[in-house]
Amino acid sequence: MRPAEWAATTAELGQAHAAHGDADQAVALYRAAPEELDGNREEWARIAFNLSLALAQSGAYAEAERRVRAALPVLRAEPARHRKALATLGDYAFEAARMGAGGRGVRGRA
Amino acid sequence: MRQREWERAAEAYAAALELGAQVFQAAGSDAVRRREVRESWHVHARASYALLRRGQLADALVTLDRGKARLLGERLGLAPETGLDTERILALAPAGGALVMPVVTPAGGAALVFPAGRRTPAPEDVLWLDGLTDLAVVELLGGPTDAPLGAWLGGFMAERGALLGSPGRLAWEEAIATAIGKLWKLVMGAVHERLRRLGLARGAPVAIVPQGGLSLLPLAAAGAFPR
Repeated sequence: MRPAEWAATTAELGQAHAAHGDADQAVALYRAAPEELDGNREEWARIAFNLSLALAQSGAYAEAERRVRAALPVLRAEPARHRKALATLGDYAFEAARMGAGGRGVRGRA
Repeated sequence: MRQREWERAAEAYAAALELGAQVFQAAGSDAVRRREVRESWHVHARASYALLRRGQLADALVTLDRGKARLLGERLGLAPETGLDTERILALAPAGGALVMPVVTPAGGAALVFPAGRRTPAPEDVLWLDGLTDLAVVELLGGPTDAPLGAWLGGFMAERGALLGSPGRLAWEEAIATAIGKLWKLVMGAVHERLRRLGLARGAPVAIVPQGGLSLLPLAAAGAFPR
């Protein structure tokens, strides 16, 4: 299986785990996605964004923010996804303000 | 510390909303426009709340109104999200009365209460309502999220046509009484007190511009009625 195909399958599995509330398993799957992805930066950015959401779901807000910020330059090519990523950064800060050190609860998938 | 987080949230939301407006305007289909409305309505509310927490009242007001304008524009097929400026929003307060605009977020909410004649929003126009969360409104609408549809919507959907005096009708009336009592505690009791302090005459007109799920609830009927 080519890296991009493997990554797409992994991403779908990750989304399924995240949707069922198993954020840790989703994180593990997204982390396992190869960096190269046959040079498909867009696919990498989508996985990075979904990893960010799963990390936030499991409470790891600092890394969640780093991941989504790393994906932003690539997501810029897709305005709707870029908008969603920016709103997600807002959600992270909003949750942090609400909870003090770090809150929970995110929405959406890339 | 929290001020810094509210500032970061407001900045990120502002960038998202600006980009979202471009996506919305460039959308080539109704489906894309609907998706944008669906995915961004909560951003307007949260952005507005973050701005309120920052003390940027005029920006908060304009942002809240813009979310409403976009939603109505899309639903009614009107021209699009332009929204009003602060002065024109405040001018919507009816003569001798007041304009009330609730905001609901996961962190709690607020009600903006502007007496007629207000030119710019002032800190005393903001009523902080910590219990007015998204979850509280969702539960008011449909009951506990892990249970079948109940509460206001459950009663409305299932029992609104039931005969007077029938068990179904009594259950619906109970749901109404519960909803208006909870709305009083969550929002309208504090709003009423604020209106009273403003010295509004009894029967003075009050325009309420609800947001999100509150639009489906009988805010004007809310009260602390004996059961």
